[in-house]
Amino acid sequence: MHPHIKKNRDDIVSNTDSILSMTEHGAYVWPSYGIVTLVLVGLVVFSLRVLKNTRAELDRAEALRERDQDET
Amino acid sequence: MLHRFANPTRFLRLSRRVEPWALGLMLICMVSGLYFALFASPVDYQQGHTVRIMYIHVPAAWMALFCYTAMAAASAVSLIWKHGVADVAAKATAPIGAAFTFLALVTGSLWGKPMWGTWWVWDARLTSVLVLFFLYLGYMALRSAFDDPARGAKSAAILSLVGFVNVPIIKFSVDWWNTLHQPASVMRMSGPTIHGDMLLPLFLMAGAFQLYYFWLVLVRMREALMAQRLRALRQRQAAA
Repeated sequence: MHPHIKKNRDDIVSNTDSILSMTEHGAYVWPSYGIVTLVLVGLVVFSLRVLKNTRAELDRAEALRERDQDET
Repeated sequence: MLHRFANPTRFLRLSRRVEPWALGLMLICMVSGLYFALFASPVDYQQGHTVRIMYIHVPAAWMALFCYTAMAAASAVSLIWKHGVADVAAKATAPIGAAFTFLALVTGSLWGKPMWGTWWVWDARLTSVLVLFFLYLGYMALRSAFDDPARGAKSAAILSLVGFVNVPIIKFSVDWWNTLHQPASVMRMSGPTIHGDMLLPLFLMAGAFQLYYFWLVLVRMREALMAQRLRALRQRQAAA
């Protein structure tokens, strides 16, 4: 293995160890990523739920309209 | 070009084709961006691991400004050309922009505490971003404050255009006033002052946030157009 790549891999492993153990400033880093995940995922879930409800209501309203048209 | 997509049916057809690509690309950028941001980027020699907050704070702040600009532009198109899809785009953008502004404020605060020794200061940059957040909330509140959706949309569009004056204030606040917030270090005439190893996760996360907006705004616009059609159907049924 090229020594430069080996060094980079060692750096990555040591970075991973230290950030997972929340040394230094992990108490600020993880909550930041946590709140970003919470808000962005929450907005997606909310938007998809509203879309699903609106689609279901629209389907019902269109079915009702078609039934009324057939009757007339 | 603009008027081609004024037709909701044409817009919906195109949107359904684009959405899966935007979602797929967003997930690729997000996963690779998070990997580089959290594990494969160097620790800053002064800030330590807190530099990793930059990879979400800065893209969130960029998106806060981008979304407001997009919302104001869509509002202008809607007011001038009575472009229904543009109005729907402005409406769909507001909550996403508010979410990014909130995230920029919160992550900035979480970054500020270990670096500045305080969660918050009333300096020009932080205060003007807080004003931006209130502008988003005001836009959404004003839209829903009217019984007539058309009047609500018009009032909110005017508010968003008036509030646009805050966007250049935010951008140049760090140059015009003495602020605790640092000046621009990426979008500078003389080039970024950040090392390439840190620029990679920053740009990947910025791309992911941009694609997130693009995908979600299409989803929300699809919902808003369906809701419009539902309202029209119900009015017709009530009139019959």
